Amino acid sequence: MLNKQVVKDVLAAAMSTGGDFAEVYVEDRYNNAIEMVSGKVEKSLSGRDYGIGIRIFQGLNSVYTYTCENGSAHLIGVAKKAAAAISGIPKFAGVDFAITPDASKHAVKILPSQVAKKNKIDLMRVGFNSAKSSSALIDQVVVNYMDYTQNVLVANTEGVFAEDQRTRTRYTVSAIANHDGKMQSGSINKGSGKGFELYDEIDVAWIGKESARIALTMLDAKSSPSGKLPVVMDNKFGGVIFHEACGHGLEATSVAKGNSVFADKLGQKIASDVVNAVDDGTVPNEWGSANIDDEGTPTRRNVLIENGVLKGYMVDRLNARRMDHEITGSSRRQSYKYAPTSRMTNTYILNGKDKFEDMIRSIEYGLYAKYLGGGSVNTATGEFNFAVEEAYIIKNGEIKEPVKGATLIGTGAEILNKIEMISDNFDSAEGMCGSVSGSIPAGLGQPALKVSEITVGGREEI
Amino acid sequence: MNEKWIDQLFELGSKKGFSDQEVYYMKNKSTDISVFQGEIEKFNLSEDGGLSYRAILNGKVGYAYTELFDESSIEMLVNEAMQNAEIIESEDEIYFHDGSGEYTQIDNYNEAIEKSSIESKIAFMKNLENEILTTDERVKRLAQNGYDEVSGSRVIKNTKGLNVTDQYNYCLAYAMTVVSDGTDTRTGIGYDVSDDFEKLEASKIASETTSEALAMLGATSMKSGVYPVVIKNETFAQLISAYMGIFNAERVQKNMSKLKGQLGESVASKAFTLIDHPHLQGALSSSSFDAEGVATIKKAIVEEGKLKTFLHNLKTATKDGVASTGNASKGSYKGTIGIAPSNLIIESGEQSFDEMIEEIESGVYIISLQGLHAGIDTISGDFSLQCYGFEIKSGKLGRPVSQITISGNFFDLLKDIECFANDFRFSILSGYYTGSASVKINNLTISGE
Repeated sequence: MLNKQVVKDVLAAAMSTGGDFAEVYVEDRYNNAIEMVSGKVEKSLSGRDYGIGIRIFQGLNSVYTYTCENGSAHLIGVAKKAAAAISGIPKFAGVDFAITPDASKHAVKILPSQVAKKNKIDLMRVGFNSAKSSSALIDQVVVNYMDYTQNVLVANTEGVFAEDQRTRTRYTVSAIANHDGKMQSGSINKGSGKGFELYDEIDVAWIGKESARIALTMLDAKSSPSGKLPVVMDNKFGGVIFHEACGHGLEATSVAKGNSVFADKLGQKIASDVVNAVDDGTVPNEWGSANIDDEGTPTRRNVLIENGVLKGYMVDRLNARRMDHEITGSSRRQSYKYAPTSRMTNTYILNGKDKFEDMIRSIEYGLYAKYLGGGSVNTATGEFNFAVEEAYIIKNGEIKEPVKGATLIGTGAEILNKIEMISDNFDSAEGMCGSVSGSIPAGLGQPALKVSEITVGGREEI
Repeated sequence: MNEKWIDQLFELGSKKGFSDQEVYYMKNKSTDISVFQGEIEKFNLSEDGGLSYRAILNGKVGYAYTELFDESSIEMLVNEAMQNAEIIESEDEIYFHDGSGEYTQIDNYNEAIEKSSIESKIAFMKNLENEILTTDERVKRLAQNGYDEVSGSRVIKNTKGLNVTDQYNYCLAYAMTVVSDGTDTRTGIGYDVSDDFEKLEASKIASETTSEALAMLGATSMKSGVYPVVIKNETFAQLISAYMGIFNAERVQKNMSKLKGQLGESVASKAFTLIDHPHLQGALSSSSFDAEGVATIKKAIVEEGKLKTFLHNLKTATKDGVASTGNASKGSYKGTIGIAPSNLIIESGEQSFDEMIEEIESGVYIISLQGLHAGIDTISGDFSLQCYGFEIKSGKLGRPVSQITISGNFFDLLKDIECFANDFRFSILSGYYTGSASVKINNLTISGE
C-alpha cells in the first residue's frame, strides 16, 4: 500500500522534533450500498476511501494528522507539519520492520466486490417479498444491503509493519405496518465479517418475515408499564446491556483518567457471581473481529469479568502509558480520519447454567425483552439507557401480551449486581458503536439473563 | 478543484452515454486541540476532500465517489456510476438543476479565525481548564474538552449549466466536567460557538459546565406519574431535531410519516411555529444553495400549529407538483441526495423562564435527554428517554432528580405544548442546527420508582 522506504522516511520526519513514538496508518477501502424501497432498487452507491493517518507521541501528548495524497514528498511534509507541534531533542535512530503479525485468520471465501450487483439485488428481493407477503397491513418495506473491503497498513517506530484486510457485509429489512391510523416499524439485520458466502448460511427470507412480524405485533401492543420491574433480556442483541452498562466503562478511553465508575477496581467484585464476560477480537470472521487492531497489535481474547470479579480493561498504546497496563489489541478507529483508541471488538456475556423457562417461571410480574435496540452511557456516572424493540408482560410465570415503547435505564455498578440468572442459550448480534474514534462495527452477545429489578420507562402505571 | 480533471470526467461520461452529469466537491480543514492538567493532550490537524459524481442514464441516476483524483479515478467513477444507474428500478423522475433562480448572498467565512495564532487557541483552552477546576472544590476534572476549528468549501457543477460555490468556517470550544461530593458524581457540558475566535467566552463555558453539574449532585429518582413538564431550551431543540424526518417529503411519499395528508391541517398547538432559515448570519447551517444547487429559501414548516409545507428536493417536489423548497442534502460527498432542514428556529414566547416555572404547582424541569438515537420511534412517534433535571414544587425549582425516563408520543406532545419562554438558544448537540426556548408541556409520563 506504501513501500517500506517511504514509510520509514515518513516516520523519521514525524520523529524529527523529539517525539518518542510515531505511527503511519494507510487505509484503502471499497464501499458498496444498495437500497430497495417498495420492492424497487432506489439507490446504489459505490466509492473508494483512501487516506493516510500519522500519529506522534511525546510522553502523554499525542498529535494526529491525516491526508488523502500519498506522494512521498507530500507525506514527509505532512509529518513534519504535525511534528512541529512537539518540541524536544530528536533521538530517533531509524527502525527495522521486524514485527509482521499473521493476517490470515479471517479470510473470506467470496469477496463481495467480485459478486455482480444483480445477485445482491436478487437477495434483497427475497427479503422484500417475504416481509411484504406477511400481511396486507405491511405498508412499506425497505431493504438495505452493504459491503466493504478495507485494506489497512499500520507501521510504527517500534518495528511493527502490519497489514490486514477486513471484509464486512450487512443485510437489513425494515417493515412498517399501518392500520387504523397507527403505524409501527420492525427491523432485523444480520452483519458479518464473512464474504458473500454468508448468504448461503443464513435465511434472508426469515429476516424479512421476522421484521414484518415485529411491526405487526407492536401494532396492537399497548404501552409498556413504568417503574421498577424484574426483566428477562433475551440473547443476541440483548448483549447491548453489557455493552452500555459496563463495556464502555472498561475502555481505557474512560478508565485512564478516572472517568469511569470501574476505574481502580481491578480484582474487585463488580458483578454478581454468575457473570463472566469477555471482549474477543479473534472470533473467526465475526462482525467486530480482525487479525490486528488499528494500531497493528494482534487481536486477542480479553477476559473482562470472571465470576463477578473485574479482571481487565481494554487498553490502547497511549492510555497504556497513563495506566501502567498492557495493551490489549483492541484499539480501533472508523477510518484514517480518526486517531485510534480503546474500543470493544466482540463483547460477550458467557453462558450460565440456568434455563430460559425457569427464569420466566420465577417472575410473578415483569417484562420479557425479546429484541433490544440501541442505547448510550455516561461512563463517569455509570448511568445508561437502551431501547426495547419488542417486549411482553410476564405474569405469574408466563409470557403474556406484547407491550411497546419501553426504555430500560440504570447505573452499571448497580445493574451488574442484579443479574440473578444466566441461561445457556448464548447467541450473538451485530451493532454499530459510536464513540471518540468514530462509528465501528461492534459484535455483542449473551445468553438470556434475568435482572432482579431495573427501571422500565413506559407510559402505563403498573 | 482541477477544472481540467472535471472536463475529462464529463467527456468520458458523455462518451459512455450519460445524458447529464454532475460533480459535488467538498474540501474540509479542521484543527482540534484538547488539554489535560495544563498540558496539550491532543492536537489534530486534518485536511481532506472528496468528490461525488452522479450521472443520468435513461432517466436513472447512478452515483460514485472518490477521494483520489488521478486518471484511474475518472474511469472508476464513470464505470461505477454506470453500473449503479443500470440497476435502478425506481420510476421517480430525476433531473439536475440548471442554475436558475435567485441566490441570496451569505457571508459565512471569516478569515480572522484562521489568522489567530495556534498559541492563542492553546492558551484559551488551558485558561478554560484552569477556570473550570478553580470554580468549586467539588469540581474534579474535565472528562472531555476541545477547541475545534472547521473550515470548508463546496463546488457543484453540472452539464446543464449549474456552477455554484461557497465556503464557511466557524470555531467552537466545549468542556465536559466531572464533579463529585464524595458520594455522588455528576457531569455537565458547556460550550460556545462563534464565527470569530475572539468572541469565544471561557467564563461562559466554565460557568455552564459546572453550575448544572453541581446543582445535580445528590439527585435521586422520583415517583412515577403524569406531570406538567418544562424542557430546557437546547434540550427541546435536540428532541425536535431528532424527529425532523416526519417533515421529509420523501418519507411522506413513501408512507413513512404519519403527517401524510395533513398539509394545511393543525398538527401542533398554536404556540408552536417552526421555521427553516437558511440565511441566518452566524448560524452553522446557512447556505445560499442546497445540495442540488437550488437556491435556498426561508419558510415556516409549521406556523401557529398548522402544517405549511414538507421539505422537498427536486425529485420529491416534481412528484408532488410543487417547487423544491431548497432542502436537498448530502451528508458528505459519500452520500446520495436526500432531504434535510438548514437552521431550524422554534419561535419563542413572551414569558421569562422564571415566570413559566412560577405557574407550576407540581412538575418536572428536564435539562437533559439521553439516548436520542435509540429511545425514539419516528414512525409511531413514541418515545421513552432517560433524562434528568429538577422537581418543580409550588412554582420553584426543587431537588435534583435522575434515574427517570420521560415518555409519550411526539405527535401528541406537539399538540400538548402550552407555551414557550423567551430564553432562545441554539444547541450544538442536536443533529440539525436547531434553536428553541424552554417549553412547557401539559402532560408527560415520568417513570421512576
